[in-house]
Parts: sequence; structure tokens; C-alpha cells
Amino acid sequence: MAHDETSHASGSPDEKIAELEERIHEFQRTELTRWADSVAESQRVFDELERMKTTVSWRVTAPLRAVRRKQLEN
Amino acid sequence: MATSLTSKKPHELLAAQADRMDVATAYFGLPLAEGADPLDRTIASLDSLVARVYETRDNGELWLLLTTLSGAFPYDRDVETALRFRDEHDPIAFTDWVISASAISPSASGSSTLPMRIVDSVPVIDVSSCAINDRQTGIQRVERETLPLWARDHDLELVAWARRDGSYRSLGEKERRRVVAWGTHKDVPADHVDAPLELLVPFRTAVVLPEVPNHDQSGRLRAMARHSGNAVTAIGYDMIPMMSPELMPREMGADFLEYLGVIKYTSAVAGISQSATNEFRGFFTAVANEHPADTTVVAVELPTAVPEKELAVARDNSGELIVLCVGSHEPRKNHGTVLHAAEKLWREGLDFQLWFFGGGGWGTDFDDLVTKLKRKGRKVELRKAVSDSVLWDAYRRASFTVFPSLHEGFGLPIAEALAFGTPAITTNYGSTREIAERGGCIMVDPRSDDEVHAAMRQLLTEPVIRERLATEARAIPLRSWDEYASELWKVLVDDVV
Repeated sequence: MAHDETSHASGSPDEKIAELEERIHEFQRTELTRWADSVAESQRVFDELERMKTTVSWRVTAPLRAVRRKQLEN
Repeated sequence: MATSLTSKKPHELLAAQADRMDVATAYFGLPLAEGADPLDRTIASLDSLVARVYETRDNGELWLLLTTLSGAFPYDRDVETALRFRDEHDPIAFTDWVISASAISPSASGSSTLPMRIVDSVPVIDVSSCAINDRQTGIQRVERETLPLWARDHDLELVAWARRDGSYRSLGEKERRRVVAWGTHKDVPADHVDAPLELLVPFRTAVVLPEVPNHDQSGRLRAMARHSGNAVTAIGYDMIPMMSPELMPREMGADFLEYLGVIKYTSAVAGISQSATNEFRGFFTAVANEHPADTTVVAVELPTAVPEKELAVARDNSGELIVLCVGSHEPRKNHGTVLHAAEKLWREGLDFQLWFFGGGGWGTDFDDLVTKLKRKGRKVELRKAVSDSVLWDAYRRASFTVFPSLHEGFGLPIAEALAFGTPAITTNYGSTREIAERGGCIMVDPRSDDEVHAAMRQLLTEPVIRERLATEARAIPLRSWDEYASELWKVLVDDVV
């Protein structure tokens, strides 16, 4: 290629491709890390809810929830 | 047991993801990614797997790729979006997209840190409910009789849904025993250490559903049935939430509709009675315009679930007249009609005991009615939690049983009573009619208080008819669990893979 308008002034086409590939790779790493952060957070919230259901306050308020369930059923 | 309540840290999720990608690349014979950094390993594996997905254009392999990347079975919408993206873009764009978009949705509730194993050579049996709790109602009884026989005769993989419901996992020893060695699960020592759990991914094999999944599981199973290349099959218990919605709790209806979304794409459904089979066939007929069915729907009728040694014990109903009514107390079971008929008969001067065996229940004033009758001195007995042996003894002592259910998939209490030679009054349509037509029964319209009353009066006052029906009942040939298990395996496994 005699002249490439899109090429960076300081690099050859091969260097530009390598740079873009590196940027894509970094983008992919970032996205995978974000995925892991998001899954970990959703699992943490899920587990917190599970723990809440084992507490005394959850147990003593069980009759209230049972009454509410009956109301909804009827 | 099983999955701990410890949330995983992001670096653990990434390491497990890279390991899963290794499993998938090895499965397809692709070169394994090198290096120690899990992010780089996943990206390298993804490049290989995406290239393969573009080369083969196999939707099942795309489903497996989504499952592997996220650690959870994808929903329909995930697979459909991925298919469209694959068809519209090149592999590089697809790789970026699958990383940034599709992985989030299915994995939020996935078990993303379990090591993955692909199961392709044996059928996968979903026994979640049976494995994790001690309930012993109809569906669990079918599983606990059938699966030990399947495990004895065939290679198979028993699985349960992982705690966050995103994928299948292997079973611990106690769970396994609950399914294939019921009664011995409590013998597992407290210090027993299970093998590490695995995330199990069925691929190009049969996936059998002997129980009804919840709505979230159904969403993922529908995608599996449609796109994965697995043949998903099911035992068809009944269509009650759809055919008789007025008799079921509202929330059960919503779950059941999701389940029908799976049934629609199954390869085979084995109805537990001819009546239940007809209901499922009716569903496929109803959806035939938009979804021409290639699903096999056949009846594989349940056997009678009574151990032979129990049947060998002689009946003892020589004492006071006893009327037995077995089942949970809910509108569908029609116990209000039985109480009404009994009260009329007591007022007419007849002397008998009325026993109700069965727990749970909802949506009726049954408990209040029983309390009022007891206050009046009526001989009505209510047992909510009974063991099998107490139930068998009750069948032996009962003069007859009453089971005027408004809608059943099978009618186990009728079949059990007849196996003991105990006459029965039951509904004159549906699956109970199928059982009653073999003898030993008086059939009634369960919506007619007068017919139920007249039938109970006849059996209470005419011992000759009771004896004739008992003789008929004893002559009915019993179907065995071995026969059932063998026929079921053929329909749900052999004929679909």
C-alpha cells in the first residue's frame, strides 16, 4: 500500500494492526473482568438473601408472610 | 449439602471459566490455550471455539459455547440473539459480542465455579426435587421406584439443578441415595465427604425430566430442547393447571405454563395414564398450527405402588365399618362432598368411621368442617402425616375407599386400595375411570352430592356388594415397577437417541 490515510504517522501498517489487536485483546480482558465482577456481585446478593432467611427475625415474621400468602391465594 | 453459601470472588470465577473453556476445546479436539493467565486462556480458547462455530454452523455447538463461557444454560433469547449475531457478523465481531453481551444474562444465576464435564454418552436424568428433599408424594414415589431399576440396568447420569438454578450439577452421596436407595440416605455418616461437585452439561444425548421444573429452570430447558441437540423427554403427569385452572393455586399455573413451553419442544412424553396422555396430545393438537409436532406422546401407565410383602398380609375389616379417603385437602380432591355425604348418612342413623389420610392442602374449609363434625360427636379422623406402613394398614382395615376427585393424572389411592382388595367409590371419568373399569369400583359423578351419598350408602349397607367388589379387585392383575421402568426407558431414552 503506497499511502494509507488511516495509518498512524509513527507506525507501519503491520505495527498498526498489532496495536489494534492489542487494544482488542485489552478490551476483551476488560469485558471478561467486568463479567466476573457482575456475576460475583449478583451471587453475593443472592447469598445475603439466603443468609437472611436463616435469621431469627425472618423466622419470627414467618406468620405474617403466611397470612399474606393466604390473602393472595384467596 | 453441596453448594456452599460462600460467594465466589471474581478471580475464582475467571479461573473456573478458563478451565471450562479448556474442557470444551479439548472436547472438540482443538488445541488447548497456553499460559497461566485465565483471561488470556479464555480469549484464546474462545477464538478457537468461535472459529469452529462459524465453520460447522451447528446451533448445538453455539449453545454449548454459551454454556461454557457463562457456566449456566442459556435462555431462548440468549441463543436466538447469538444465532442472529453469528449470521450477521464475522467471527471477530462475534467474539467481542459474545464476551461483552451474552455472558452476563445467563451467568448471573449460574454456578460458575464448578468444574465442567460434558456428558454425551449416557442419558442425563433431572432428579432435583427427589434428590434434595424427603418429600414422598406421587412424583417422588414414581422416581424412587423407577430410577433404582434404571440405575441397575443402564448407565446414566443423575443430576440436580445447582443452587442458583442456572445449570445441572452432580449429586452428593446422600442425594444419590435419596433417589436410588430411598431409606438408606439417613445412614450416610456425618463425616462422609462427597467427591467435588461438577457442572454437568448434556450434549447430544437424552435429557429426561421425571419431575416438573420451576419457571426459571423451564426457561433454560426450553432453550436446551430447541437448540442444544439434546433430546429432551418427560413423564407427563397431568395437565391439571391448564385444564382445570380453577382447581389449582394461581402461582402453580404460571410455573406450569413455562413448563408447557418446554414440553412443546420435547422429543417424547410418556403419559402416566391414557387420560393424561390424551391431555398432552390435546396440547400438541392445539399448538399444531404454529408448531407441527414431531413429539412422540404415548401412554406408559403407572404400576400400583404397593410392596408385595404388604399385599401378602390378610385384610382385616371385620370390625366397625370404616370409610377411608386418601389425599391432600384441596378443592380438586372434592373432600367437601365426602364430608357432606357422610354427615347425611350419620343423620340417617348409619354408624361408621370416616378416616382422612393426607397432609397439606389449601383453598378449602376442610379443617373447619372436620372440627365442627367432631364437636357433634361424629367419628371422623384426620391423619396428616402417615408412613407407608400405616397407610397400607388403613387400606387393609377399610370397608371401602372414597376418591371422588374432580381431576387426576392417575389416581394412585384407587389403584392402591384395589391392590389390597378394598372396594372403591371413584370418579366416572378420566384416569380414575380407566382404573375403575377393571373392576372393584362404583363410579359416580363427583359433582353430584346425591350420587356420592347413594354410593356410600350402598357400600355401607350392602355387605354382599362390598364382597363382590372386593373379589373383583383381588382378580385385577398387578403391573410391576420393572415393567413400567423398562417401557419408560424405551420411550424416553432408547427411541430418541
